[in-house]
Amino acid sequence: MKSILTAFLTSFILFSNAQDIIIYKDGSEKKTKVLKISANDVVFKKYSNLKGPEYTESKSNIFMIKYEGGDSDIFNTVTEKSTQNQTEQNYTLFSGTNIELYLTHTISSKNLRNGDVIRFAVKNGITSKDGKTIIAANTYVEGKVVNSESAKAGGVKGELDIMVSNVTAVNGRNIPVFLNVNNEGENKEGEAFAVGMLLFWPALFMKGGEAEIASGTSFLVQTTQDVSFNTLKLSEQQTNTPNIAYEKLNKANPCGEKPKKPPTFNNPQYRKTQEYKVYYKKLKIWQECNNN
Amino acid sequence: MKKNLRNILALSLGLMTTIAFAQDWNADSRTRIDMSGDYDKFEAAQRTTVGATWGGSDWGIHASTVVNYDLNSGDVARLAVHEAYASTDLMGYASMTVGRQALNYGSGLLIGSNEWSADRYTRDAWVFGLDLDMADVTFGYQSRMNGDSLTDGASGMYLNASKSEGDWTANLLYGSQTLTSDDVDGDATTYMGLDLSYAMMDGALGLNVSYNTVTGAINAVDGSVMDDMDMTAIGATYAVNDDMSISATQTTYGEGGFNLLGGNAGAYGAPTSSWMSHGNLGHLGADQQNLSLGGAYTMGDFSLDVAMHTVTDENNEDYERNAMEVALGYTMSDNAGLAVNYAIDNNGGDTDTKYTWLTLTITP
Repeated sequence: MKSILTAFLTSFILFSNAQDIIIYKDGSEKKTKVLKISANDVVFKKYSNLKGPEYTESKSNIFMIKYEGGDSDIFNTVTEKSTQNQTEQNYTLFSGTNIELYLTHTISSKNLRNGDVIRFAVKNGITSKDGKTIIAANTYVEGKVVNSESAKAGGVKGELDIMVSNVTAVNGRNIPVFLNVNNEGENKEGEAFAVGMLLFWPALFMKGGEAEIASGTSFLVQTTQDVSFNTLKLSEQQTNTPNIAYEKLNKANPCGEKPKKPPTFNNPQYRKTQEYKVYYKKLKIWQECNNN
Repeated sequence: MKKNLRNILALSLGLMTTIAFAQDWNADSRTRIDMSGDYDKFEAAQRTTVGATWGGSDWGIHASTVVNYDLNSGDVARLAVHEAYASTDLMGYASMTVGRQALNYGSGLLIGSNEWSADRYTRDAWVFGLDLDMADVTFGYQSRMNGDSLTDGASGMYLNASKSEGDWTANLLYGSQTLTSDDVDGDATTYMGLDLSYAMMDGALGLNVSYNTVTGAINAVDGSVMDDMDMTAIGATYAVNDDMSISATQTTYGEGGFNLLGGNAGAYGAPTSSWMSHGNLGHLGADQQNLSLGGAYTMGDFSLDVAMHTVTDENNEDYERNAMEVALGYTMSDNAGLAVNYAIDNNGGDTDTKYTWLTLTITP
């Protein structure tokens, strides 16, 4: 019974997500069913009207297609434009260039709401061939929470969708990028339903897992447009500058956070409680680690 | 003789096998020398606890045995089960634990394990735990028998809710219990304990408030229903620096006094001083207040705790009880600690009673 139910639910979820997403260079998205990709065009149908007409879109306007199976195609990439000119004064950051970002703090669907701003930072800066910094390491990048659902009773998982749309270059220019971070907690709906209905009704109140992303987690974003810089106006910068902030983030607490003292609650035997003993042991280890 | 030897060998092998196959095990030994009083008292007692735990991600079994040696009482050894319980996860958000457990909630004044005593308090309990966003909720049925007695004790349902959010922590314990004497059940007593703790100034200043009530308690002497009992404790602890802290606590008892057997403080007027049974001043009488001022200082492996207690009585202006306790500790290694505890208490009279203990604790 449970297997049939699970198979049914799985099929439902799979079919409900069977769509290709076309992401345009301006950041907009369209849910479609892609039919054909030719040398210059993409032919598709609108997902909301699969029996309707076929549409044709020039590949030059499209940044990426995300297919239902998880694959993706990126158009107008660096290799396609490798023949473009570069002079000593101009440097072009081509569409499709990867920029690595890291999350500066741990986030969870438990305490985020739609519209909240999340802070990332550039992990490794980008420099031109003549050593000029285009994007500096540790530049803060703002991401926006486009969807946050905390875990709910009934085993419903938490969900988190974050969008990053631009990275700021050293000259203050915004470089359009695309990053859609999607994180989901553990889904316990089947468990909650099956156990709650058949065995133990309070299980219906069981929550799913929260969506969480740890600080320091890295993400690759891709530029969606060619952006040119006059490098004569940019200052020189040594390449391979170590990313001190990122390393600090990862080494900030090599011993972990200082253990939190349990509340005393006016307990006359406070120091003999198991909680205090565990805390004291952790504190000693923490102090020893810091002394080393 | 041969039979005894065989039994000892079998038991030893069983114990070794048990520990070898356990996923975790723990042991601690506490040797305490009681030098209380003014005469040359020197009484040693050892309490050894050995426990083993088996478990997976969603289940666990724990069993521990305690052996008490009263070296001044004819070298008698008392072997007893300390804790023996099994726990299991219920659908990822709840747990169930059944068996003998050393329960301790909030201030430990209502349900506590009295870790000071050689014979700690344990309860045969059926406990459900719910890890909810709203609070950690624990409820169940507990039964505590007095010593080895199967006919005298207390049992009943209880519910504990604990919540920690940011700088504050709250604990609410509510329950009822029925006293059983000579196998005859008495009327139900209900109790409630509310404990609040708030940390300020990055945790340097901690504020604590406890409010406890007991209603429907039965007088052990004449069987009558006693007045409602209540006590309130308000305390603050300030960490001057990483090594030093000072504290002040005002404890106020209502007109019915306050006591509930099975907590971390001894009863007022009990035949055995709370210093001996619980290692602290214990509960006070009706309408009495206690102002405690203390300090704690740590210097490397040494620690010093000092507390002064001044007890006054609302109904007797001449009454003043003064007590002082000092604890000097030395951490010898990661596994061993030595402590000297000293207390002096005039019990509201003219004669001081002195208590001194030397305790060696070893935890492998």
